Amino acid sequence: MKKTWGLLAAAALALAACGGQDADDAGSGGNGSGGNASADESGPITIAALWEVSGESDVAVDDFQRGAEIAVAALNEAGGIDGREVVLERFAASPLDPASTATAVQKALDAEPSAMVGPLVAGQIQATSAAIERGGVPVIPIGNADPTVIAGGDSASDHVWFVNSYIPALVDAGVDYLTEDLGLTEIGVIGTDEPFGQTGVEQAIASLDEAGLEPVGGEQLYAPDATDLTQQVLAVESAEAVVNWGFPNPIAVQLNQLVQNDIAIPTLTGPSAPVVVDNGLAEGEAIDDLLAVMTCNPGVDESDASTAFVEAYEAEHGATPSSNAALAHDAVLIAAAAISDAGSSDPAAVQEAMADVEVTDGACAESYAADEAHVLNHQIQIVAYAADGSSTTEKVVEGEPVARADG
Amino acid sequence: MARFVALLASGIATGAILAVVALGFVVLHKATGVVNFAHGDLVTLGAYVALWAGTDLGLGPVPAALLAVAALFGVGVVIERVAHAPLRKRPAMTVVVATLAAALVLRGLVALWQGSTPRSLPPLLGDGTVRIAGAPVAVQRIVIVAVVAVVLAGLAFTFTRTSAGRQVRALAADPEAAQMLGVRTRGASMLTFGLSAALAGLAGVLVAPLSAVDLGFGFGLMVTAFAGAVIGGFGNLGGVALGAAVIGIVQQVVGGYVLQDWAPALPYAVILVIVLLRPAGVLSTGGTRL
Repeated sequence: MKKTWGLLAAAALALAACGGQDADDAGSGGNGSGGNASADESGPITIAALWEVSGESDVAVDDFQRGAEIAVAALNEAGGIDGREVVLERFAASPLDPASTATAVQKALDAEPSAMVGPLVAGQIQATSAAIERGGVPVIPIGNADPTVIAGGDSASDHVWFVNSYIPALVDAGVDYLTEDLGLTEIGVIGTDEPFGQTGVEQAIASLDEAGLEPVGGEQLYAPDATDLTQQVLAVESAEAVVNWGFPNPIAVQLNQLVQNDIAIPTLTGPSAPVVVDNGLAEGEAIDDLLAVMTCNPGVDESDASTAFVEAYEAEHGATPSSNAALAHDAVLIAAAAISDAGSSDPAAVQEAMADVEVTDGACAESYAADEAHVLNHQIQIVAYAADGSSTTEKVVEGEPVARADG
Repeated sequence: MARFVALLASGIATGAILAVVALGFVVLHKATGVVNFAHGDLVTLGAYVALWAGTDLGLGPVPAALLAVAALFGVGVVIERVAHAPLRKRPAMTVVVATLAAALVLRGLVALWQGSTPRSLPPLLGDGTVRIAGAPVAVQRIVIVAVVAVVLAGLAFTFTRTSAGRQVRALAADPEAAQMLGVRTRGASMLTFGLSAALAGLAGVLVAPLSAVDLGFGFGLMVTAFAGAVIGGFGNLGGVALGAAVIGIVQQVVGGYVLQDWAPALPYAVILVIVLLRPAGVLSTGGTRL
């Protein structure tokens, strides 16, 4: 009997492991010609993409690939990089599965790219930072910069450069908006009980502490797959606002349960907000007080570059691009600018050029330049949603450069 | 008082959902010896079928839910034919691995069919609330408890008063003796797989409106429901239902007042206590009857 239960437990673990490992094989978004970029200074320039497309895992979407392809098409239409064609070669790396990311990074390095764009979350970088460092190719992840993976962090590689904002800076800007712009003092803090949520919750509490405030109801953490947040909602019922740093599904649960409990207070969250609204996970009254602190808001942002990107994306795919699509687009532009600045497709030269690269026509942020933590993007927006799902940018903040971590 | 009632109502509804999920794989395990690790993905599939019926076929929430439960019964039968029947004479672990494969295939097919973006399923009877002792309780939670109560009563009736139910129980108690007495193993096995999958589908359509549907949505429920089944002794229906209710109420009520940071881990703490004090489960009588 003991043996049977042991085998069943092993099977359960195998299923858990398999759950996030639906695909790790390479696909190609380019012409598949690859190219030995570092050895051949006249042939095509390869940029490797480390992400999935729809169907490859539970959370795979096409946004990243679509955004990057638009950037590559525009580059090639304008003559490529210094006359050389740009090829985007994709390697499936699941954000749910660090092992698949390690495989994807290795395959990508074998293709000898000049730069890599992706992966998507800090856990993937943590799992591959040593391989990235050994590979010597600059990597531009799409996910938010996390304290553990910025330059000098515990799980960092100096070859990683962030196109997205720094999570603590986002949360801090959001809390400042609640306390300073809206003048609120009673604020609850909840979030998912995993690294992304915990980073946000810890920063929110630290930001409140700086303002001389304590979170209403204390720190409230919940499971990422929670379907009932009654405890958390009741814990913050006396608050004037709540910060919820987590994933779209439980944020939708919280928004709906606030309405069910007749609690009409603003909820401030992060990049999950557009997923909640665009997919109708919460609607009407539930999103009327929703605030999001994000890097950009394509479709609402009015810069020429953002408008051009949105038009190109809508023409190609019939939908408004997400901020992730815009960031993937910009990651390719940054890589291309660094290759051009380096005057070479040799990864070592590109890595050196990344420190001084400047891009001023991004679809997401209007300008990118690296700080000592390798964060390229310091743009932060506070976005407010209305009951009909429309959004307006309430405030744009230019975040401070992030200091190198001393981990 | 209102806070306690709100947490209790939430705990009972959570326990009810876990009970349906747990009963699904306990019924199957007792009748066929199979622990079906595709059960969580059947929960997910049930929600997606209801979503498809609502959006693409234009059915209302209740007909869409009924269609989903019926469709899942069919899916269960297909799984029995494809992943169980050919392996019936093989070691139990071979069948368990086949259910793992079935889980991955199901998830992949749903991903290709519906994509991986989270979706919203409307509540069966609207998104209103009713006040109970001053506490607002979502109508969907009341619907969950009512439906599960009816299903539990129906299952109890089926297993004690109908020929098909008695055959399944006989198969669970002693498969060889049941076959010698004329119980048709094939039919009972298909019926049980179908019933188990239908219960998974029912859980999916009941719980999805409280959250959002995505590809991993049923897996977490399956793991927690497994805890409920262990507490109940993996034996009789009442024990499993009680175990699931204990999980839900402990998680919400105890987690709501004390040990808030530990609420997600409380079900597993309860398992440890039960396994230490009563290894065969709270209501287990030591037998294998349903």
